[in-house]
Amino acid sequence: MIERFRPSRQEVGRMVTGLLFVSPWIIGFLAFTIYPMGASFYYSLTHYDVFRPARFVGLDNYREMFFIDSMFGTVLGNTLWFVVVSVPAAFVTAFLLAILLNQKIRARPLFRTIFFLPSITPAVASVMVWLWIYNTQHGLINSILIGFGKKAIPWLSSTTLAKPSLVIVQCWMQGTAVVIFLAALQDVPRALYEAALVDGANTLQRFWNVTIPMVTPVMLFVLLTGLIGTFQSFLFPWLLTRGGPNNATELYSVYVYRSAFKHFKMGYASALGWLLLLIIVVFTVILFRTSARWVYYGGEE
Amino acid sequence: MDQKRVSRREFMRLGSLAAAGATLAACQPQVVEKTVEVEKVVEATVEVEKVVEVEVTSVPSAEEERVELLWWCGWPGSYMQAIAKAFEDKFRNIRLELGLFYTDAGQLLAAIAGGNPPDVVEDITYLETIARGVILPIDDLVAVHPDIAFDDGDISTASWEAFMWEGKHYGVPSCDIAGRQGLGFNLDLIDEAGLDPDNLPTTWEECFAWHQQITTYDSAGNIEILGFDPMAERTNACSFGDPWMWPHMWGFNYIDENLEHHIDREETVEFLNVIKMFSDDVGVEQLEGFGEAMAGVSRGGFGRGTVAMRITFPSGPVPVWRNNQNDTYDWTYVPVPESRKGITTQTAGGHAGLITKETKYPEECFELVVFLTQQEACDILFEANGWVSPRKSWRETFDMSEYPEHVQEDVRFFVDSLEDADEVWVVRDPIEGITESVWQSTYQAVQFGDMTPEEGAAHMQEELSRELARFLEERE
Repeated sequence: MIERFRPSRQEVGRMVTGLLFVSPWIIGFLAFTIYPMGASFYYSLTHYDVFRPARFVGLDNYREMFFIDSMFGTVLGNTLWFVVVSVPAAFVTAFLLAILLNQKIRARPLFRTIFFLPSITPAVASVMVWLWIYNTQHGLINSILIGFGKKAIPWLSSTTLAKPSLVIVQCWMQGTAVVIFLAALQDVPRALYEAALVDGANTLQRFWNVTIPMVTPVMLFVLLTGLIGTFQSFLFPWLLTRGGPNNATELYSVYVYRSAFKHFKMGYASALGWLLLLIIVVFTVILFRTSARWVYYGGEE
Repeated sequence: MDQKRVSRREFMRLGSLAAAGATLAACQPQVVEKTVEVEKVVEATVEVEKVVEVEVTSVPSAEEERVELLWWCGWPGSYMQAIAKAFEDKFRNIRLELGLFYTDAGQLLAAIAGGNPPDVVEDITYLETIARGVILPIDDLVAVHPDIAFDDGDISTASWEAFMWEGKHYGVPSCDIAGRQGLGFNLDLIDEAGLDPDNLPTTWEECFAWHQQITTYDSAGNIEILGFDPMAERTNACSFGDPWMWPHMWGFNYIDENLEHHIDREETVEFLNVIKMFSDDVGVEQLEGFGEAMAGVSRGGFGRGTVAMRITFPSGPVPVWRNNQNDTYDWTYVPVPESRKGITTQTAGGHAGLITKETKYPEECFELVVFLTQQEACDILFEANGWVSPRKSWRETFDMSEYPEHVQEDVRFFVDSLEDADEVWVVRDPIEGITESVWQSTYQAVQFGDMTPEEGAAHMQEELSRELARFLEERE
């Protein structure tokens, strides 16, 4: 016979207390996450410019995206290129920096602070600095080149160089990932290094066979968050290049913003947003599925 | 002894109750008002100021009730605060809350969606916003106001028409109202290049020849002096009071009164070819980079003596002279193709004060937008930015003697060109923001070789016609 679950008065009281404590989060989650998601899904099925009521059009926005909008292919291509290049580049940069900062050197805390600073610098201030660094005539790099009688590099005005220029900025901002990697590196048990040393492993072998396997869970985390964040990159492309030159840096989020707030096509922008969610989910699933092959969890058999 | 202890759970429960109570208490409306009044007490021949603190606990009487207007003034300068103060001094029953930022369509969208739109707004995509039905028509308000009229000749007809939609007026032309473009020359650079400053070019072909003669490079091929970037400033714009002007130089309007586009034509191919000609001469990446290098400077290299020619907004002459008094500048009509040599062309537009439909105080809002056209506000704007008033009466009496004669002439050129030009164009495009995006991506595609001029013309026709059809469908 199955016993019915009959909570006691005390248990009900505890449940109510717990719910009351968590209610601010629940209310916030419902109001600021679930409701906007639901509303945006509804708007993705409408033509809506905010000034006038939404008009239901079914899958018209999605059809426009795939079959009519000539910019969509460019935007998707730019974004995929940016993700495929900048996520690994930023990952490797952060990891190598963390390894360097894990060495026993003088003034190590100072170096750690310096490398973390870009992550906490306001984005607009960072953009101003990078605009100056990349400036074709008076920038840090080009004024040196011009001073030596060389041709200036059109960092942000070349369709070939504009995206790599953004990748460089992305790598510069990896302070948070560096700190996370650093914590993971410091968590690797010394006994493993000693055991490897006893077995005759050299530095490279210890790095490959001890360090990397032990930090792979953190690598997965950094890759995943980097992937999700990079797909949604908006601030730096918008402030540095406004999507130019010649749409070379028109990334997905920039295009969503432009469609919604410059073209008054809130319904279309919502549809773009939902497609982005799907793309991110697909990439995330691929990453998780493949992680079983390369992520080492110490507790597993 | 049995000590009563508070458990952790009870402590947290009591703490959260206390926090909730404090939050509720903090959210209570304030009842007591304190005002500080300054009393001037005259004693014999000595004037003494006495500060008196007066506590007012009652609601102000009906006579003292002040109207509060939210004004998104469009530009964050202190000059806007000065105008607001001058307005409040004149209209003591109106208090202005200023939105001191460059108005963005997204902000306006969010404000309208949130049910808190501004009462008066400026520096937006005017026609696009008007055509979406969020702005109040002002015909009735103009009809009864003693200080403004459509047909008294003080504000040009073309300027009024620029803010009309479907037969109604929506905006009072206020800031920077003059012919919307002029070709500026740095006469010193022209002289150094051995060209005749008394015989300025009037066609694009002549401008290109001058550009080639003026442009110099260093030994590595970097630009030192640039003749002309045809896409700097005014020629890039299609909205915010500055309609797409390229078709006008070629003698056509890209959108007619029946809201049909006329873009895929020979003339469009021609001017796209002209743009590409300049880019190819210098190198498109180098041209773009040179323009970006001084993007934060007023008028870029033109205002700093490294670019010889630039098509500017009417606010060009005064700020350029203020930033660079070493060089002499001159402005004239924009160039036309060789086939139209001798024809002068100008576009009407500029900035207006628009009243949103949601406002509770339309008459008070209208006082504000009319005030922006009057002496005090216009004086402040001209001193700050070189923006001319829409009123002929102001322009005839405003004292410009502190400015050199050539600057005065250039200001007068922009103003008079609206009356004197052979062709004065008025554009009403309800999707001007989209037009601007499509224009900018199309000409860049042509510059960078991703599209031919023919493909560019066809692409613009197709894209804009589709977007306009969608807009009209949604209106129904």
